[in-house]
Amino acid sequence: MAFWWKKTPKTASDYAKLLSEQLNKFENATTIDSRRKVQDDCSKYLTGTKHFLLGEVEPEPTPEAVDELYGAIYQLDILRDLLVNLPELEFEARKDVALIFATCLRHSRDNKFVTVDYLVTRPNVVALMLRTPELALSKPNSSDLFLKAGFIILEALKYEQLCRIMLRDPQIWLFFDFAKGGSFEVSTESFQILTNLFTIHQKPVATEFFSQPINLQKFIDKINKLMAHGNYVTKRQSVKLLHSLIMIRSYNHLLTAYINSPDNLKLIMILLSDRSKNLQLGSFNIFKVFVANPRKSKPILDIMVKNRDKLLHYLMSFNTDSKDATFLDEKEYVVQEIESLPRLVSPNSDPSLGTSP
Amino acid sequence: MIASTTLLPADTSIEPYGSHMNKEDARSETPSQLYDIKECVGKGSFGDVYRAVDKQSGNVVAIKIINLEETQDDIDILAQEIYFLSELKAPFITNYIQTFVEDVSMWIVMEFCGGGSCADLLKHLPEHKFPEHKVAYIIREVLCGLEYLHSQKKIHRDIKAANILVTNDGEVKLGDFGVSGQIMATLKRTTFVGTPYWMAPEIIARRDNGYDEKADIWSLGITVIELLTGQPPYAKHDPMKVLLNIPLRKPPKLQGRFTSPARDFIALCLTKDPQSRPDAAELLSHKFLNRPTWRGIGTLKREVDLVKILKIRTNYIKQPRFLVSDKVYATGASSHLQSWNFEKTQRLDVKKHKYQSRQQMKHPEIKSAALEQMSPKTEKSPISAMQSADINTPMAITPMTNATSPSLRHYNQEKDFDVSMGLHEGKVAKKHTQQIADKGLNYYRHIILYSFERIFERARSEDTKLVVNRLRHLFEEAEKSQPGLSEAFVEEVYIRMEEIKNYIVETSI
Repeated sequence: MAFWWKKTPKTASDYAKLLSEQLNKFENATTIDSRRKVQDDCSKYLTGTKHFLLGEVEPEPTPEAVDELYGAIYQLDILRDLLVNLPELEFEARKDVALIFATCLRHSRDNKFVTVDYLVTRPNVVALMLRTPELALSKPNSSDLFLKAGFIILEALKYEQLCRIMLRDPQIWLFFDFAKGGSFEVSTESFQILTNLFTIHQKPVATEFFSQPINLQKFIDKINKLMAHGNYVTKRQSVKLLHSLIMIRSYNHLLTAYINSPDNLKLIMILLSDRSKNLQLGSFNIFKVFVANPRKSKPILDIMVKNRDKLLHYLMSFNTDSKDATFLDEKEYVVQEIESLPRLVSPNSDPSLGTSP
Repeated sequence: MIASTTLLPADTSIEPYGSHMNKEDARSETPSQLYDIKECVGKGSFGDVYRAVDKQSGNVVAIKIINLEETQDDIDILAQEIYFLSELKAPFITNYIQTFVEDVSMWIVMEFCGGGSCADLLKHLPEHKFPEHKVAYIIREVLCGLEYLHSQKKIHRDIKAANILVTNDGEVKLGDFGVSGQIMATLKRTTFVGTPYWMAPEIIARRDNGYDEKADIWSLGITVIELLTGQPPYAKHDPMKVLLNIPLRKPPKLQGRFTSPARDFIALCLTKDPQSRPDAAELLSHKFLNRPTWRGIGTLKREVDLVKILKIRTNYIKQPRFLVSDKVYATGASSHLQSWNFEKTQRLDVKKHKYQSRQQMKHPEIKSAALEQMSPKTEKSPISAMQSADINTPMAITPMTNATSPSLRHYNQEKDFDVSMGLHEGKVAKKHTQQIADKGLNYYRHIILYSFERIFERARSEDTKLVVNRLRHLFEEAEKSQPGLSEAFVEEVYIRMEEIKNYIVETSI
């Protein structure tokens, strides 16, 4: 690889030392020129470290040398420094940082994820990971920075131990707000983070997160707000996320809590009648669960009974050109269920109107 | 240092949007406020490309508008494409600027190439092909783009003349990656509009993405043939048949009188085994691209200028597949197809309030839904749907309106949902007319005048606007001479609408 070193690294841990040295110079680099110089040096050492970790240098580094570099990275707190200085780095260097994180996290020896184990002992670095996207939003090029910071979180979420630490951090709630208020990139990346956080490692989510009523209620509030107030993309993404979560068997806490609240049913019915076909179909997938619930609460039943005729009428022309057999079965079922509800007869109904219009 | 401020315990109250979000907020302005959309410059199966002008800077950009209602693809996939674009910055490619959501569409703002695509030039140039030295220039530039792309471990997936763009100065840039390419390559859709002539055999043979950047090199070889002859091989054949045949047949060969470096270059690109196919860097040193006499000839400026003149002469206009003005959430129409009855149960039995007893409402349980619909923005108003003014049928399906009238908004403060979302809770039921009047509702100002203003906005022709204005003045006069006339009028319209709706709901089941 053709890149030059100001100081040639003699041992593997020199890569980490040189990088650490440069990263810590940002603090005191006050002029534009000095900052640029630190940036350039960081870019070089980052590329060098990346190639070394990936074994893309000649001669190929020995496993011992690679281990030595990892050791130095942990010892010098490089991962923390990289997160802190991510906004200071230039465009290509940030891509290298993201790649270095992914490579470190994947690194294993004797069936153990070494970096993951290290991070478990350094919860403040994990906390910093979750806070870097928020910091990114105050910087220029915020979308690009947010994506890099988000990518690092997504990589970390692949590992159950790190996912569990993150689930305990209240910072995660902020991603609901980012999902709603940010640019397209910020919004979709936040959804990706939330989706992965709640779907990859289902056991801790079920037993440690949704088992707590306070989390449950907050989650429902947050996702409802996205479904009610978001732009078109946010609405579609949040409906999809909610649907995928309530379909997960071990999240029955969430399912029960959701389908027993009349406010939730109202929101889903409103989305069911949205002009967007995709939103209609997405919310139908949630609506059907309300209908299928064998133990509907009184307020839920009341809403369905009161809207029995409207619902039947609406469903009659609902997505009639679909050929999806599953959907058609489900629709038929939903219609049958609603038909079996008692019909509300209005005491004052005036038969003379029948001939009227 | 930043870290010291961020590692504070995070359980303190979380303010969703700190001051730092303001910048993002400013950027989430609707794109139509930021950009002036000009003519359509290209169309794809999933969206059209427009020339547009940044209203603030005056910069010319290209905006690709993808209708997300029409693509069933996951938004996640499209988002991945956007991330892909945002990671690329190089002079040989059309650079990505930003993405917006408007109505149900994604607006992807890109660097603009005023000369159109090489496919455009092929179509309009009198000879419908390029001479070898021009092709060598184009391909050299494209290879620089591919070299950058492949060094990032990224694949273009859709190399063809239509995706090689030309600037006003005749410089070549690789464009249109990702967004259309990925969707096309997956072959998922039934509306398979793209043509497979450029696809590498390994893409077709192994559908589980078992291919690498060498697939671009194959497509590049096909593109060379396209540029030299005006068409890719087998262009006259049925695309699906070609698709099935590519992995089975021998690689296509360049037909006609061409130099041997050109033939050799193509043959190298069209090596069936991707392993032995050369990469971008190797091809850049090929003889075809580096003949001493051709060096320095560069750019397609002459072709670009010529085609511009030809286009003006033939009055050539691209018709977009989707109209930017076609919106799912059209202003003036309800954003929902059906309104529901969310009145609280106990309300069902209360029939004593003034309005009902006076007017003898027939179906009290529908009342709240009806009240939601007080602002008379009917979807099938005679103005925008003059031709289909069949009053009876549309009513059944149309909820007509949504209470977005600004004057009614402040009645719904208790709950967090928007009025425009149609979530009205039980409190809508409390909106008896008497209360409304108590809160200062002026029937003429808040309903009649408001409606006329909306109708005025929706009127398409000047004539209609004139008539609407005249009618409004007449109403104003009538209200002045007979105060309360507006109230009576609104009530009567409302009651009648209820009767009709109830009639239809009853008879249609």
